[in-house]
Amino acid sequence: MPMLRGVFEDPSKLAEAARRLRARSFRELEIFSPAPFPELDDVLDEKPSRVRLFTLVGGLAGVTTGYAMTIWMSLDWPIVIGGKPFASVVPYTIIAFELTILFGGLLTLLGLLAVGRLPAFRLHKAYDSRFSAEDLGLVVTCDDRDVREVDALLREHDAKEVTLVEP
Amino acid sequence: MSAPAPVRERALPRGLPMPLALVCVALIAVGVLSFVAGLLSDHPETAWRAFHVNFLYYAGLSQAGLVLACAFVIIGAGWPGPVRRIAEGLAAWVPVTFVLALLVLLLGGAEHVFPWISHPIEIKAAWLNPTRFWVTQLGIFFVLTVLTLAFLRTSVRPTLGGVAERAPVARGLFERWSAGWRGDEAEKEASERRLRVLAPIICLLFAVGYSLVGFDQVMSVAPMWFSNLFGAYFAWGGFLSAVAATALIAVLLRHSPGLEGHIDKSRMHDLGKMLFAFSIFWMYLFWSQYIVIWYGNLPEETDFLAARLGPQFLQDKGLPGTRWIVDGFDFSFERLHQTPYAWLSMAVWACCWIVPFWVLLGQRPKRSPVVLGGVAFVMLVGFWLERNVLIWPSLVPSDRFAWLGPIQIGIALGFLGAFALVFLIYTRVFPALAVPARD
Repeated sequence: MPMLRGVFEDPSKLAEAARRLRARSFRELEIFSPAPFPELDDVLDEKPSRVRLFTLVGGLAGVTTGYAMTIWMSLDWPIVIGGKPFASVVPYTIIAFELTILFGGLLTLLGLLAVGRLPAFRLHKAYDSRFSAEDLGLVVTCDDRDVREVDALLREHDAKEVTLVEP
Repeated sequence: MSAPAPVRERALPRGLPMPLALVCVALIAVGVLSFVAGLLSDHPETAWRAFHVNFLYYAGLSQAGLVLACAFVIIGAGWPGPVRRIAEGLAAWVPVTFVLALLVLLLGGAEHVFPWISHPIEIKAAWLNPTRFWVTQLGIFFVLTVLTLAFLRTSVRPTLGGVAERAPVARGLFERWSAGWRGDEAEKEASERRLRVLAPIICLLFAVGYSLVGFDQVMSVAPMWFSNLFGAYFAWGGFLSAVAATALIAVLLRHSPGLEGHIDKSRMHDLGKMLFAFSIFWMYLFWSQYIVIWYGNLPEETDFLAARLGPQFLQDKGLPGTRWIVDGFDFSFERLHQTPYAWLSMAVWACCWIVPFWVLLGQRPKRSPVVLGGVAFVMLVGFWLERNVLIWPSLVPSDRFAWLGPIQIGIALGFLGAFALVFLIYTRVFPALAVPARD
């Protein structure tokens, strides 16, 4: 199927174009953006990212490990320190807290790599180096018979360049 | 890349909503009657203590509302939109704080609250004496009141252009405040320039001033106890309750004229994120004090926590011999019940940390007005309970319901009515809540 790439300067114009396309049931859209723009947040109507599951699992694993490790260690080799209980939950909370953040953070990074299929050694066919600098790109995959319609719609929304990308 | 066009805001004066304002007046009447009845009873101290708790709650909440607005100004936040105006509205109470503090001084209420006034502590007399106390406290409230009024006046001015003709009441005030109008662009620019100077000053003064309010008005109620972090903890409690109040009011006003569609899901999401993160930080501040006191295990420090949480939360749990060294996690609700204020403290933890943390963890609850508003309401109740749990156990250690009686409830309702009325006048009559203008 042909891919059409529109190059935009204004994120809100791109968002409008994408909304119009979706309203005409073009579902296969891809956006390239050099920075996050609030205008683009809800444009693609994507499902919530699965990365957050990684974060949750990491955080819960961290808090469990933090308490389990410290309590197990101090009960395995009990030493009275300053008359405090062997398994002191109050100070061990610090370790549990830090490990929650550490594991949560690391698993978020791993999740980001896994879900985003990173690092990507082959770039997306429609990618252009301008999308990492000053422009935004909207890539539409459509049927041959719709190419003219999509092309017109992109230009209508101030796409400064529309090209057909060879699949 | 073009920047989003700056949004013009217009004040929308509409006159007081009558049934609601009358309810507020009725609540104020209930409060005044309860207070007077309390003063005339055999125990005037109960009325003064309840007054003190509510005074602290609304003082921190209102001043921190302005600090939230200042924070938006300092970082140039674009996302809050009308939310900043709601946060500013809370600050309409700030002058009242100063007046109420004066009232306590004139009526001599302080000696019913602060034990060191009638029983001076010689070794601490250099700090804990009424003259120094009142000079510091009134000074802080006065300076903050002046700066707050300057901020509010500067901040609302660009929204008042041409409003005088449309205002149902207070036309003279509108005309006076928008005298010498130089056009929207010039006014907005001049206002922002002045606000950027005022905002950091107010934030710093809030941090220093409300730490001192915490030390003087809360910590000195238990004059032998001290904690360096307490000032920050107290001020942060005020800030978090201000964020919760802003979120709750934003959710309640989301369909009101001029704001339709502006308190949208993404704004609620951002408010929810702030509540979530700041409540973790509140617990973090508490823990930072708690762990040092727990670890040091010094009687003059642990007393304060023992009166509120009970010995189970401290090293020396009062168990015989060395059993407590072995039973590190020995905990029972039965023994929790033996500490008069322990359940109240548990309720504070639940309302201010457990509920916001677990309910607002996901993305969808933050974006739902019912859930976000509900959590904000729970947190506001939680911080009111927290102010109670900071004051009452130091004064009435043995009575678990000292904070809850007809007089106390009446005074709390009176404060609620007065605060709501001040907010309503500020947002509905003058200078009126600014809403994004439709051209």
